[in-house]
Amino acid sequence: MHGFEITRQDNQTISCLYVKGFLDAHTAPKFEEALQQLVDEQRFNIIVNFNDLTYISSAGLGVFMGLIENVRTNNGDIKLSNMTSKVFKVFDLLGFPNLYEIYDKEEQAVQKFTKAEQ
Amino acid sequence: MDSKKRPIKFFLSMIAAALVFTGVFVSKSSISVFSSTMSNVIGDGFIIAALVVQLLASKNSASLNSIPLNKRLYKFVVTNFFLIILLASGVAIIPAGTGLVESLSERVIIDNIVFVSIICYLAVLISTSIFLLLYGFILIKRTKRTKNYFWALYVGLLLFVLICSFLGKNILGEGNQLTKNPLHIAAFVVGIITIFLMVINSYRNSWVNYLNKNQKITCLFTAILIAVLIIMAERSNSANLLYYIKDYSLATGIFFDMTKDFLLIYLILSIFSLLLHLPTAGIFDKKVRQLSSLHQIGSVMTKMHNFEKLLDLITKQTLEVVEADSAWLMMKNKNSSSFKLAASSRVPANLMNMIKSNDYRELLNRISEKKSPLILNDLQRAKNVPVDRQSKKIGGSLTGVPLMSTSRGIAGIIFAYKEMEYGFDQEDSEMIQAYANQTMIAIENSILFDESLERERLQQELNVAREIQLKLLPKEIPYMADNIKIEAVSIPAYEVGGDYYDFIKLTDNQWGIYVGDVSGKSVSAALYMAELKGFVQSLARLYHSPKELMIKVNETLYPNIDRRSFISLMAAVIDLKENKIKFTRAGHTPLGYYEPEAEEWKMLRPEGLGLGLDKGKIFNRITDEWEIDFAPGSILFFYTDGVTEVFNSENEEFGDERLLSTLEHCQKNDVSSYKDVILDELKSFSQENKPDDITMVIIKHVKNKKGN
Repeated sequence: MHGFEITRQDNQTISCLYVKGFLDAHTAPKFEEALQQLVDEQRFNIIVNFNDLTYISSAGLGVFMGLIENVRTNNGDIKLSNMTSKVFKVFDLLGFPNLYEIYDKEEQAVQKFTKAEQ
Repeated sequence: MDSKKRPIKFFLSMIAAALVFTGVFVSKSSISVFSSTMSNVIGDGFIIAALVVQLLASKNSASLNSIPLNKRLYKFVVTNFFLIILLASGVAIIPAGTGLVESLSERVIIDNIVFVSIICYLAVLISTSIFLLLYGFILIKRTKRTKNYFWALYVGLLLFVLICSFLGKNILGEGNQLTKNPLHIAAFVVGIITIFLMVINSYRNSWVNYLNKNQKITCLFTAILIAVLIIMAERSNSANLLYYIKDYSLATGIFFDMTKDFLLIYLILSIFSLLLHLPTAGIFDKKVRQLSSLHQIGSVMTKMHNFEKLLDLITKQTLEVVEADSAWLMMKNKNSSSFKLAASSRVPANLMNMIKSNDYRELLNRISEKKSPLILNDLQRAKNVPVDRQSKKIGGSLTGVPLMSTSRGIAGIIFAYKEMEYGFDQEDSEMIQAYANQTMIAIENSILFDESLERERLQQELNVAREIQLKLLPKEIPYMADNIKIEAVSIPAYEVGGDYYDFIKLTDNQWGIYVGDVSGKSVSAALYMAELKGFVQSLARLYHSPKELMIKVNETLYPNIDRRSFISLMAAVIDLKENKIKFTRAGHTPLGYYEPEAEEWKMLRPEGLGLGLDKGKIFNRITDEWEIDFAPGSILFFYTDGVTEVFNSENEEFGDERLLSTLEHCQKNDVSSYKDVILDELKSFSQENKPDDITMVIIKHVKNKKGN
């Protein structure tokens, strides 16, 4: 059983979630709760920063799929950033870069959001 | 008893009667051989024998023990009433007055003897009946010595009767003076001991405890009645008649007399006992009721598994246990410190209002913190007491007892209310505590039961899922052609795996090969796999192009799969005539390919997206289809990510590089089974770590007949 932590930082209209550790079937509910919380608060500009994430499984990927439709319908988005190559490989294999914007740096994602609002 | 014992009873009774007759006959007829004294003694001996035989006979019958305690005295009177009347009237016929002995010596005729025998036999029957009645009472709640004392009394009495017979009179009777005759002294001593034993036996009246208040009163009056009748009979004329029985048969007379005395002593002591028990009888009954309801509740509660019904039952039973007017149960909410009304019984509106008030919540906190019961015996006068909505104080008394769980601290609180002040005493509080403990056990049982049912259900679910999943995989490797060698293996990590593979013959020369991975691990994964297999099976023969097939499968799958689930799939079509392979990678691991000309392994990775992630627009746009040669010497290696994601003890992945080098190793050394080598490698790499689902399909186009 590997641990998972999540921290949240809000900056005006954008919220950033920092994920750390293992995101698998056991810890996915915790992640889902955090995302759901943002949706409940009507905060639809979301960035997930994968800098400290060691591992992600299909359960973790499923969490995104469960919420993205709602977020996008509300003119928001979930952008991903700071992935390690190992984690990126998992997303890449499945073709996720075609569904989500994945950036090297969080700032790029922030910029994208700000540009979109103008 | 009946069919076998009745003849025995009858038979023995007849013998007893015969013995009585013989005894009387011997006593009263002049047989010149014996002296008058000896005749009497021998006659009395027969009477004693008759007494013993009759006791055996009567003891055999339906025992008095089957009659409830409170009815025994009454039953005794009713059964023996007839006999007593007979005896009294019979004795009354014998002329009262003086010189009976004279009149008898004048008429020694058989019918008198018969008559006297009947009288004596009646006396024998009644005495035996009295003894058995008292036997039944005395032996309730017996100690080791009780039986001994009783039989000692009986034997003592018979002994006394025998000695008196030798003396020709009742030593303990009126007007008998003690002399220095050793027989006198012996008789006297035995007599005193016998009376002493009567008193000892008469203390055994603890059966009084088993009657309820009303039964105690009834028994009291019945006992008084019988005692009074006995005393009255002693004083009337017929007392003289009993005296006259002694003339006919000393033994019978003395025995009957002493037995009657025994009964009287016993009744008097029982009457005292009943009188002393009467004041506390009410409370005693209440205690018994409480204990019995506690016991009943205990056995019912532990069988009740439905949680809601259990809570309901608990509140109802609280009413009974402490004889309250209202009762209700507050259960603590799972993750907070607040309570919720879970069940109530006979709670009127004003109490309901009180329960919703703020002051009441304070009470709950008080009990919750102290973890001990609270009794408010005068609600009107108490401080910090809840009020109803109209701010009117409610009168009466209230008690709240916490239910403590072994693991979770306080789980709930039971409340009981009485309209009367000072309705709850220390005993009631203890009663509720005992009840509360039982309740907690029942509640925890119920929860555990639900949990174990849930676990079982889950396990069943997993078993079903596994069944489904096993049935979905191919039962055997198909034969494609002489020069095509196929290996396939699928090892699920847990009970249900998510890996899938299949072979479908599309045309004479074309075969479809599909290897996939369903996200998730449970029944739903198995069901999605079944869906996938269905779609592929039905669509593959229509769309020979893997890309078109994937597009169609995605289109069909998307609306039929949970948003959070998806499937990765590698779909390939082998053309055995053209020696070519077309393939599409829907988000799956790359296809391993050994190219015979280049003599190297490659990982082929066309662009693609997993199935079920997109409705079709993006999927259709980006999905690629590649075509390569499948010349002799070529090898295809399909796999799922369980192979590369195996971890070792240092949390390192097996990875693509190691996979490639293992494949190269197999190629160079020309192994016969790739899958075995790879599985060994994985095993030694992972050691104890549990791998994910592992699936591999290896297809070789052999060069020559040797099988390379």
